[in-house]
Amino acid sequence: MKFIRWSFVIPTVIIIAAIIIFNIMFFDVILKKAFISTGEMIFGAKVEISSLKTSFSKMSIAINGLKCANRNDYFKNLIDIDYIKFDVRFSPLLRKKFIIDEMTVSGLKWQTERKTSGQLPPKKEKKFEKKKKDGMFSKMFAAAKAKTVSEFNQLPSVTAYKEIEDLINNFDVNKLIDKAQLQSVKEIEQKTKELQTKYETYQKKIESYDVNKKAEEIKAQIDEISKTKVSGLADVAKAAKNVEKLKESKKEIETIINDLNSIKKDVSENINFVKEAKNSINKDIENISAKLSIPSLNLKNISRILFGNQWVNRVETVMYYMELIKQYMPEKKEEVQEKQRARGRDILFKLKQYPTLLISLINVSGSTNDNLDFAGVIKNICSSPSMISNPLTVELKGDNKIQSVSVSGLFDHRTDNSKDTLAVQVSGLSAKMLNVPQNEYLPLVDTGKMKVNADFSLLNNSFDCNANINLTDIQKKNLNDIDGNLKYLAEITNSITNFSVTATAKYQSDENMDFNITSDIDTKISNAISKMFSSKVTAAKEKISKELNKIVSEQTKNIQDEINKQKEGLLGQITSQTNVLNNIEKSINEAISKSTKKSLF
Amino acid sequence: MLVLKILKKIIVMFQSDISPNQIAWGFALGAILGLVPNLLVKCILFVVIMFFRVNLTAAFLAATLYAIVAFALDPLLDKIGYFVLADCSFLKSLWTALFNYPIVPFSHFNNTIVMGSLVLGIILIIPNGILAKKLLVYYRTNLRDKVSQWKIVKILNTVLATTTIASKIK
Repeated sequence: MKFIRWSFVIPTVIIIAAIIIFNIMFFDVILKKAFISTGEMIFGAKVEISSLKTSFSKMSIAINGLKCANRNDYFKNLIDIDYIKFDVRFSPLLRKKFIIDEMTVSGLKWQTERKTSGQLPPKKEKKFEKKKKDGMFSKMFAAAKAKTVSEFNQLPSVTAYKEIEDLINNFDVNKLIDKAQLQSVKEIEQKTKELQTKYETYQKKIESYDVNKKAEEIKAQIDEISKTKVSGLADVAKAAKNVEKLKESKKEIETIINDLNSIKKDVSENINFVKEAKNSINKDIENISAKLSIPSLNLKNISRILFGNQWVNRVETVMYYMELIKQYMPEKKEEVQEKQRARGRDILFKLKQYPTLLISLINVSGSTNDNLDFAGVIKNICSSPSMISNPLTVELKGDNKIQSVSVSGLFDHRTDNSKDTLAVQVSGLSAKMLNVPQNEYLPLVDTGKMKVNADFSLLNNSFDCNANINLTDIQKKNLNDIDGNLKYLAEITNSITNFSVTATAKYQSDENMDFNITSDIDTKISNAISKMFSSKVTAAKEKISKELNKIVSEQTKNIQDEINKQKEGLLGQITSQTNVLNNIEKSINEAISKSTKKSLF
Repeated sequence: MLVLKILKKIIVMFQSDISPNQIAWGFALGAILGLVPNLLVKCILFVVIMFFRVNLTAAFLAATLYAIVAFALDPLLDKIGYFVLADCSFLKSLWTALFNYPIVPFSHFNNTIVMGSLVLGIILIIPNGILAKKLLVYYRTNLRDKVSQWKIVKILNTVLATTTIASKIK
């Protein structure tokens, strides 16, 4: 070994050994930091890894407890993975190519709670923002979001609910009765006056007949006829003249009887004061009821107000990740020809090309927040999609008969015309996932179950998405826990146990982003308000009727008693006078008959 | 000072009794180091030179000389390289395998100049070694004493001795 320079070999070997030992001991720590740093730049929020272990003999990496904070809610994790393991192919790695044939991801969860904030330190945040702003969709979406949010905020939400609240607050029957300037009392007074005038007129009329005087006069006439003895033609002429006179009196009597009968009829039939008073009260009730008409409120925008910002944020999240996929899986571009080297020529041999990153298969398993287990595969994650034959696909499914979730996606960037689609179907899961903010105007959405059908597609630069969300089994608010006016709102929201929302968002090149949200919650709230007001109106009508009856009943009773007394007196008078007149008429008839017989014989 | 040190080392190499074989091998390997333009190959050759007990002065002297000569030899190196890489079809599978092998492509062995210089350097190992050894033996037998009497050599020896003592006192 004389020909070996030990003075060089020994220190070199020592240095290399030291580097290897350092790497073995600290490589995991360095790699963990590199993963965290890269993850934070991708997701814009804190990334945590409990432990990372590498094996040089198997070329494998195992990651435990990967938590990636949610940029939109720093106290929640966007993803939370218990365990990740993958093997990296050695030879491509030496060319800085990460080729992973199979990866295992287990215990995948999302939106899990965090104890600490996931916000990045200001320095890193700035770096991320700068990187994020460079994206085409980020710029486009920032403008569209600002416009839409300002539009949503301008909607008359507060006004609509303010109207409802005002109506509920000001719903006071006594006030309404005061405001109504009751007509019934006035009308009763008027009727009373009218009746008294009428009675006085009848009384005068009856008195003016002076029946007794008339009876005496007729009696005298009858006596005269009966005393008359027919002995000659002169007596016959005199008797005939008396009979004629009696007949005229009879006619007069008949006219008086008729008048009295008509007065009697009028008094006994037409004068029903209670009935009249009731009619007046009813008129008043109708009049007040008209003022209790169900309000017409502009509620068609409630769904946009309630779900608008949520929808914008969700679309933003999806677009952010679609853009991220685009960024890390760029579309195929024209190959740039290499420059001729300054010295010599490069002879190119057939080279087996590897993309910088290729994960052929990821076996994913995890659970939702509702403990629904799901599993599936993600295939062909590749940094240069044009280099592989298949596009990136995602297939995740979970079903426990009560709940189900299905996610299928296709991200094809192999050609110039990229095509990204993502379909999400969820049913039976808790509506908590929607993160709809709770307020007094909304039913308890979090307590409901949801069924979601959502499709997102990004074809080149045209973004289109729509989602149908059906919420069912929404629990009712406990009215005992709610004070004051909010109780009325709770009554309205409690009447809604299910509703649906349809949301769409579209973006075509050179056009503004178009957000649209429709929901039957608008109609349902409107109907609930109407129903509540209807029942209140009915109750109010009853109350008004009671109040009015209370106000006028005593007065009506007194008047009615008085009227009855007068009526009885009047009728009694009429009856007695009619009897007298009838008797006179009878006597007249008899007298005329006798007189006629006498004249004949 | 660096120039003086290098000069001293060259003079020592020629004037001393260092093994002619070591000098010959150093010169032969140094020739390849000088010819090859690629940094990775240079590094590997440097490690090889350092690994074996060959004369480093001879190696770096040869590397310097051949690096200058290489520019003039570019057309020739290109032709040799092209012949080896493209015309020798039986070697194509080897080159393809190496091309797909990790790290190896960083040597740019598929460049005609790199391959040409490497092939020429390897071919010239034996002739360079024999030539260097024969010349050294001839020099030491016939010229060494005469050269040591040259004034310039004496001055250089004196200057180098003085600077060595001065640096030690410091």
